[in-house]
Amino acid sequence: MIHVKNRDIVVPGELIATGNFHVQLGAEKDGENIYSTVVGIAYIDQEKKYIKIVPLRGKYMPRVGDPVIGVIEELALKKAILDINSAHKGILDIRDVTMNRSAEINKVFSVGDMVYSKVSDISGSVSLYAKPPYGKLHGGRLINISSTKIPRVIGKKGSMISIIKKYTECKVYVGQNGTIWVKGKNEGEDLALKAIEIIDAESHTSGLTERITKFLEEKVI
Amino acid sequence: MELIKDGIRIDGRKKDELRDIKIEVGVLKRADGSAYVEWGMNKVYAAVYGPRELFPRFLRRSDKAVLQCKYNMASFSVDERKRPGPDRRSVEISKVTGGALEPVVLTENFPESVINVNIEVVQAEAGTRCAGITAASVALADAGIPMKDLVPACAAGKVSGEIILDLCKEEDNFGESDLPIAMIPRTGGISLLQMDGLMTGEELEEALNLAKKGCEIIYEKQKEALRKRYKGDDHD
Repeated sequence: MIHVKNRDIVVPGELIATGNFHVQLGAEKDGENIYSTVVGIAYIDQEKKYIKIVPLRGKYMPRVGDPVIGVIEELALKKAILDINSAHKGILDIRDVTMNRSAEINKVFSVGDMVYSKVSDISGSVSLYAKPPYGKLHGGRLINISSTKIPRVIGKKGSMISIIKKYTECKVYVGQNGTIWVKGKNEGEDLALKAIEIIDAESHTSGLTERITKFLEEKVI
Repeated sequence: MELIKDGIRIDGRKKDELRDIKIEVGVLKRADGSAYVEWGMNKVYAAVYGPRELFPRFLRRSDKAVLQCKYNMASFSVDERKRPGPDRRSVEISKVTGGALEPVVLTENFPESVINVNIEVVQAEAGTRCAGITAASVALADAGIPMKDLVPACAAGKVSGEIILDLCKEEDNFGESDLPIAMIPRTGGISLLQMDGLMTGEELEEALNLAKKGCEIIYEKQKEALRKRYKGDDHD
């Protein structure tokens, strides 16, 4: 039995369903009952019997394999410490940046640099990996949004992100930690950031891709 | 002074009536989650930061996040200037607030980190710890921290020999007994139970049931406030 409608906003402690469901995210089982644990949107698949609650807010929790964008906060002897907008700092070892064994970290990076990297390990500390195609980002602009909204920025099979790229003629790199880097012409960058802000504010509404397309079409002409 | 006359209390309420309550969510933009509660003349802000890195390092727990709660009253929150800074009372309330919230927050999801809960009382009128816990649990949910349930808190007490709900300033000062509780509505558990003054066993039971009823009303208001934050926009 299901107690809420599909795509409803739910709050912690709310009874979502009773019975045999597979919980994917944002809920917990208490005997037969399934309760929400976050403020989010409930997605219920009655046929496949699964429940997913996508949180509306929350800090980024690193997962191995996630692409993230970090800002270098501190340089140690052989590693850099990055702010990745999470509960923990990201650690980037020089060996995971370049093949050159004699490279020195302070020749490669300086504090404030933006690095596009991949989470390689989360046991103990959050380790990052930044060999090509990952690496330092030159120029461009960063925007931080809630990490829970990144899937909407990317869209189904990258539909949203390719629309933004197409209309603004910008390079766009998306980090799962909620940090997005854009680089292009000035007006293009402005427009891309604006579009991302709209996605951030309206991520829980439907028909967003169409609205963003319309918004960009109007601005570009 | 007569505190209760013909079943009507000094501020015009019935025995089982709460003061007016207003809850707002997301009032502080810099915080990860925040809430503001107006409860009668109480005005309380709660701000939640985290999960984030905890310093000093030795306080870290490898199995769960540490929940650090801090309750503070502004020096101008009461008639006579309160000396700023932590005192015995606010240290105690900080501790019991942490105890009230800890059972619902899924701290095991965030090992090695800290969740900071700051409660700031801007105006006080009796019942600030309940208002603080109510605000803090909404702020935690707003910060996107997974939790089993929201935690409503409410007080009951004994004044002029009668059991009443949600004591106001005069009732708190001149009444016989005060019983603030915090509840986990999903399980019916109680995560805060304090009492000052004296009550008999039967009276305690009666007061407890009354306070639970008050908690349920506040629980509805908490849920409503959280939903309202995102309701403005449509979501078929």
